[in-house]
Amino acid sequence: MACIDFKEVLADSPSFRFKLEQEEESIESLEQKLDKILKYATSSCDSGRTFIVNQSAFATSLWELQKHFPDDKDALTKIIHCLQEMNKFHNILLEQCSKTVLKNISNFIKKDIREVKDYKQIFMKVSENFDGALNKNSQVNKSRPQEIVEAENYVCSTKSQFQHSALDYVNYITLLQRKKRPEILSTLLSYVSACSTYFHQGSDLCQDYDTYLFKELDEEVNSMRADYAVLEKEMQKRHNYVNGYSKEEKNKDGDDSKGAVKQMEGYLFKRTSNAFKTWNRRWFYMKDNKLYYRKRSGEELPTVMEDDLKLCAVRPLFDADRRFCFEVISPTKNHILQADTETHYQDWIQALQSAIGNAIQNNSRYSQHMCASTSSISSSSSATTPSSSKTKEKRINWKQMLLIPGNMRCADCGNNDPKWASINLGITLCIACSGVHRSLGVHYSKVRSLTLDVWEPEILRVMTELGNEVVNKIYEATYDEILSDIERATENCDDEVRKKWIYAKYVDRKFVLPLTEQKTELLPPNLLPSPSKWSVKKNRRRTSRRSTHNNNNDTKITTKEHDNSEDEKEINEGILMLGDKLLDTSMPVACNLFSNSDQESTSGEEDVLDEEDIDKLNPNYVLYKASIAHNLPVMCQAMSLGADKNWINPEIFERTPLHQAVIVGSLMTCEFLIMNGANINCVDRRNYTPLHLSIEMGNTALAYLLLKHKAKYDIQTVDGKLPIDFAVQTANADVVTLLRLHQLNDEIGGTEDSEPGGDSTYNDVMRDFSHLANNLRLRSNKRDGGGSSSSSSITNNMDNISME
Amino acid sequence: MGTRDDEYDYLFKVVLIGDSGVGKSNLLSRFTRNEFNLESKSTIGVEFATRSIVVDNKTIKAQIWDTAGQERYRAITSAYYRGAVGALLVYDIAKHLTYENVERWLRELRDHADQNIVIMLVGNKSDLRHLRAVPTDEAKTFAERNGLSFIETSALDSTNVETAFQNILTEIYRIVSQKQIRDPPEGDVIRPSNVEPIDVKPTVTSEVRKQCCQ
Repeated sequence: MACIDFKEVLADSPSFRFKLEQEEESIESLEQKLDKILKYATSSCDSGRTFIVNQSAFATSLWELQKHFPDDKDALTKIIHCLQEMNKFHNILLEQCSKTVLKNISNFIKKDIREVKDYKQIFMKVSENFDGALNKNSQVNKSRPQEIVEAENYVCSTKSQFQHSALDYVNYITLLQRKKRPEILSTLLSYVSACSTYFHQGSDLCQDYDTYLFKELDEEVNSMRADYAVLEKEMQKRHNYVNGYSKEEKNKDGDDSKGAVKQMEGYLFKRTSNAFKTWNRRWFYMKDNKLYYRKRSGEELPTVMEDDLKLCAVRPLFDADRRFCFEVISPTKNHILQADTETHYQDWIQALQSAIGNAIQNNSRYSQHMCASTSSISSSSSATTPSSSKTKEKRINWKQMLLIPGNMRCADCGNNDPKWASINLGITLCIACSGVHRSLGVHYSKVRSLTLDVWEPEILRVMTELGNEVVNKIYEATYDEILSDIERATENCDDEVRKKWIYAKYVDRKFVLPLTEQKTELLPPNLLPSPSKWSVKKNRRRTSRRSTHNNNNDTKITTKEHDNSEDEKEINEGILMLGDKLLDTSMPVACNLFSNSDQESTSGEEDVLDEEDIDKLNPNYVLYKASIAHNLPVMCQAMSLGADKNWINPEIFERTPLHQAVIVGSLMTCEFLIMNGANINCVDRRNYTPLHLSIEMGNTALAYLLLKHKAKYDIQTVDGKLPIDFAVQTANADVVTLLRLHQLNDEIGGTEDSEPGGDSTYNDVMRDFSHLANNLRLRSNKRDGGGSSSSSSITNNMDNISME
Repeated sequence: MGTRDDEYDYLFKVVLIGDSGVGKSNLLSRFTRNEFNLESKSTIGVEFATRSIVVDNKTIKAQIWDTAGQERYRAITSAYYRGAVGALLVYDIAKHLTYENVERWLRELRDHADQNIVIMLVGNKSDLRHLRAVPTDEAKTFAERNGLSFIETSALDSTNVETAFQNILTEIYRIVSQKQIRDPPEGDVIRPSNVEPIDVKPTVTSEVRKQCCQ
């Protein structure tokens, strides 16, 4: 087909033209076919690329699976690698395809075919010219030889031009037809060989992984399947276990009765105390003499239903509509609970009764075996939770309290088993002496049991600050065995002796050293000039480490700036440092008694207050100054000397010691003053009560403490402000809520009994607040931002001391 | 103050909750004191008011806790919901966001309040017709789907305020009084089964208690 007869071309015969047309058509058709191939090859390449992208995303997403297959990391890694390798090979294949097929074919279309087509234009033009020349030549008149010659020449030249280009055209066509064979075939061949390489690479890859993936892993998978089948069967068997379990529950009564304490936890229905009397299903358990319950889910902390089982009683409830009901009765509340079955009901009643019995019998040991294995609950309640931190305090106080100097023996008779305490005096007592203390009346001594009572953090703190050694130094300062007509009480002395001794010591305060004598007694003998000044140090735990940091905080009390020559001044100028003698034996006291509940804001203040002239040395003023310094031993001393707890300082806004204790933010000092009869509703010149001040200072914990002690919230300042006005002003939501709730509760008239259709909301909310009070420091820190960073430094200080 | 409303048969705690600025405090003041204040300040912590209404010849005292809508003015959440038997969940019909947040408030109720608490969805500020952003039907459907009762109120022009409180208190009363028939009040007495219990309620509660030292 390629060869058109040479002669025919020169003759421009019809057969030449016909052949030419045929060839042209064939080229046209070839071009169309090639275009089509190009199109499909391109889209095949594109879809291949998309496939690779997705495939690679698929492999990557497998990585994320690793977390769930910790044991199969290796296998997963291998599988992912394998897939990624294959992807790589596929990529190479696609590149080859676009390099060969796409490039070559489009080249062939664009270059070779286009060339032929372009030449066709030239040929057509030349052919036209030749035709024109022939026409012209034929039209020439015989009579014009000149023209004939010209025309003949023209025909001649165009003819030769035509013949040459016709030949060229035919050549182009022939060559194209020839070229297409190797060109296209080689392209296709190279693609197929790329494919072959691809599959070979894949095959090699698979061989590489063969031993691991297809043999070992396959075996592993098979063994996993077997394991699974076994497990599945086992799980199915558990249904039998359920049936067995309930049978077991029925039968276990006999075995369990041997154990003295019954470990009981589980679900009970609990009737709410609100008007609806809704029955809720809750998980109940007992721990540390407390009865807890919690929701099945969505609750971080368990609720303490009763925090002292000793005070509770259990009894069946027969007049309820429901079956299996029983009641837990405490001094303040009744709870109605319902068990699921008769057995459960019996078990719970028995368990509660034995827990109560145990609580009463072993009250000193907090029946730790009760909480031996409370599984999930103990782990979920971390140390930061209010309820558990409270538990901790309570558990440690009993033994920790005895570590305070002197507390191992009764403060009054030396008995070595003190289980009682006087919280306003800060001493421990034996049971006999505690009886006498009770008879003194609460204005002299407030007696509590070390083991039976609940101890608030602030009272614990008071106890730690004082202790038998310190207090006896004050109350037995001048006692002389020989000279005195009063006999010292001893462990086994007569009741009468004990009584006389204690009355003389605390009521008549016969052995207290008067202030005037202290002046001379406390001074070093070689220091001749009698002291002209006196002062009080900040609470004792800080005396051992004199703070050297700058007082950048607001020093509301210490107005003068002292330089660091203070120490010398003390000796040189003869300042009477009250309380030094009481404290020189002070030893580190275990500080874990007061977890994080203490909020003494002492940091940044100086250790020693401004000194005062010696003629101002009187018990009232000493108590006042010691309150500012939150120095409990000196306060105690001042009180032993008959200081007026409600003395008003005419020079400073007519404030009382309690006002000052609030201003320095010391819960412990406030508690100590209130316990010893300071008027909680005292007012200063502007008619501010301690409650006003605590709220103005934003101290929610103090406000709560004062309200707990029934501080009045309806006293107006001189400019007509109620405590709540301050709280609203500072947008202290907790205090506002606290105050309004108190007011509401008083308006309704208390909540001790359940109102008709009413509830014990107030008590419950107050309990929430007391939990909150333990964590209040955190909250107030958050609110104030800076300012109260002091607390952490105090904790640090205390930590250091306890390590010394 | 004339006769103090110390005598009542039932005391119900109802909380007002909802976003800041939807008009909870004004709903309360409209209901308890018939007052309205266009420039009321944000509530801090909680405010209380009481009012007694009569249903079936029984005096019901509603103790309404108006809580802060703004997060930073809220005290511990548990305090608000303890013992509450009803909740008015208020949104502003002219502010769509306050309606969207209803879901959030419902979640808080489910987490902290009694499961039987009666909840009423209240679209307040119905007087702002030209600014309405929440269609009544949409809110109504939402309320039905969530088992809430629904009402639109205006504390400003008093529309439906009385009805809203009346309805929720009546609903609570129906539930509580039915329950009382089913569970007799607790007590030490074990009654013979053929005797109907007679529920005697103290008539004066506060006076008696005041005599005791505290």
